[in-house]
Amino acid sequence: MDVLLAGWALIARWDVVGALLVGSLGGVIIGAIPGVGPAVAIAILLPATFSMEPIVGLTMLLGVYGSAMFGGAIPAVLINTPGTAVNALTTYDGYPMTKRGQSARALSLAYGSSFVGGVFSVVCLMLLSPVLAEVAPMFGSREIFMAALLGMVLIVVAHRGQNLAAGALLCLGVFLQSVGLEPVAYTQRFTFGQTWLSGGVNLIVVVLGLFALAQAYSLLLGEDDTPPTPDIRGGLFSGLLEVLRFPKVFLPSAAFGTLMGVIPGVGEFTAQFMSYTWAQKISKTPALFGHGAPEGVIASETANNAVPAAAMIPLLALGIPGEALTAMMLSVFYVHNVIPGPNLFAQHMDLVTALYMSLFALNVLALGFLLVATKPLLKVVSIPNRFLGVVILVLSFVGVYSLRNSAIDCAMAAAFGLLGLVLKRLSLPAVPIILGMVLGNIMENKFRTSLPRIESLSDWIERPIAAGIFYTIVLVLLTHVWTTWRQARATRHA
Amino acid sequence: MSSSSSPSIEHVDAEAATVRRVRRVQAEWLYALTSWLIALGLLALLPSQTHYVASNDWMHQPALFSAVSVVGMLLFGVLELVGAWRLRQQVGGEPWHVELWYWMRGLEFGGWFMAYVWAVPWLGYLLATVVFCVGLVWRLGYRQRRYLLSALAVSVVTVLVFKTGLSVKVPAGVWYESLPDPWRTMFILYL
Repeated sequence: MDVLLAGWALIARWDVVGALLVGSLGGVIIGAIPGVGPAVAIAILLPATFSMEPIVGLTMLLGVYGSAMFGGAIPAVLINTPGTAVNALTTYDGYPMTKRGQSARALSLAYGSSFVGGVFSVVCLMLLSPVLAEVAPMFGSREIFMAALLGMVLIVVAHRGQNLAAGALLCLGVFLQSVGLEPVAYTQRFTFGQTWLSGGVNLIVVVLGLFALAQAYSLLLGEDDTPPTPDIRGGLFSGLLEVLRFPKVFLPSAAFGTLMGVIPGVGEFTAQFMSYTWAQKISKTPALFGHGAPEGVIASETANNAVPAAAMIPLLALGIPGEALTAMMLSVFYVHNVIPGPNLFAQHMDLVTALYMSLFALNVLALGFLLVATKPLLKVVSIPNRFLGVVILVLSFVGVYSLRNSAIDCAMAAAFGLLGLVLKRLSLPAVPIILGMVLGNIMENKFRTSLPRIESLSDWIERPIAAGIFYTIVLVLLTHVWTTWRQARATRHA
Repeated sequence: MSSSSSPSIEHVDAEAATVRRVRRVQAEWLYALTSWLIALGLLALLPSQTHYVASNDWMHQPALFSAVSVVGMLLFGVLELVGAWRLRQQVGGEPWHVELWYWMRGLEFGGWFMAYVWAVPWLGYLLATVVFCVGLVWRLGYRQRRYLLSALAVSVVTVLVFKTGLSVKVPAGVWYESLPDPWRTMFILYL
């Protein structure tokens, strides 16, 4: 109870409430604009949050992260264009429902499902807290090193059909984080004698380049092809309770989303695919999927909104981000000297509780906002893509320049933006680069701190948790190799 | 995104990805080759750009993580290169220079961005943002008044939110120094 009150005291302040409102409502609007997405918004807002208190900055960023997928359902349902990448599956059934004149029902199903998924994972997070508080301190340097290594393996394995590209880009991320002053003998690595590289490659600069600037270039080089938005006929409340008529869909979908959010490197896409496939399998009308099945909308939206809160679990408990957006938020913690990891629950339980409450509140705010503001929000869906690109460039400048007032940072971001553009065009993932930088940094730090206790290689898996994670890595790799070999054999025989 | 049938989701998604991949398979090979050559170059530079401490074993070497990551890039890169080469032989796709030209066109907007970065310390944040935003919108062919006014509004709101409201540190313009006293302070602090 004391902890709850302490957490409440942290968020019951005007600046935190303001940040929550800005983040939640802003996140919904950003999600509703196809081509922007929470990654761009978080990348741009990140430097601005460094001057705020950690709870204020984190609340704003979490608000954007958790609410964007609510808003992303609007263009997905109305114009067959996902507002954020993870709303893609919602188009499969949401848009056909719009074509049948059921746009209001589809939207309210999406909103209700998003709310259920978000609240489910927040409740899981709250219930897991005592367990995490007990288990997390058992993770020492070797365990966290192994967990980060597992995260890297999962990132590569999770990118089906692109494992090699993901692996190469992950290694590029690890390389980038190694540039600059190294922590052993304090010598320089790959600085080429340039002082501006002595401090290393800044993660935020890379994030802004790969996400915000790459997206801006992509929009600027593309076409303005926004179709007109149809009228929304009917009220938006009808589908909210309809979600609860499908417990066999929303409960497993929320569970998939929560589980995938907890596992580093996996994320929303896998959660959605698993939920959608499950929902289709158990449905009495599987043929309707892809043609306007309400279960399809419920499965997709519940799963993708269950991920954000769950992705906070490895971040808060071990300091290991599960995906790119939580990787960005990690820097807010570090800037304020609040180090996520095993000691966070012991030393900053009030902050953790406040974050849970914020996560719950943002779901309520986002839902409430959408129920009254969906029709006015339709205007933002129609903003021309290339104009959006200009806006993103303007906002990216302040994001990059405010870090160190460095034109060189801006040039690096612009260069990474070009790399991000190339990756987008080739449908290759940029996220492994970011996770490589973050996890590579964690791995190197934990590797160095473990060395005094290491005499031979077997000492790395001397402790049971480290050994368990190591054998999990081996199992994942063997399973992946076997699955790939079987698929290759099936293709050859086909 | 088409939803004309009730296929498995993986099949539909894989189809769309395959269409894109086939069109750009030549460029993918170019990307794989370029990134592998860069990794090879980094490997060649490893001895000169890192330090080797003779008294330390391999686990205690400063260059360990750089070396592991570069070797990883090479190994994954060569496999990716082989895969891209084989795909290139099997599938036609567009000539690689078509896609390369698209990538090069991105340089123009990188150039616009860097020009904006260069202009801010001279013109000041507000004026530079207005010139950049309206200028780029004009360059993109939006000539109607509503777009130009929207660009102006975006510029002003951005400056007001970030510099005036959030006090984000963006440099003042050089010409602000020539303003009379009360205006100079206001411009330097808020615009």
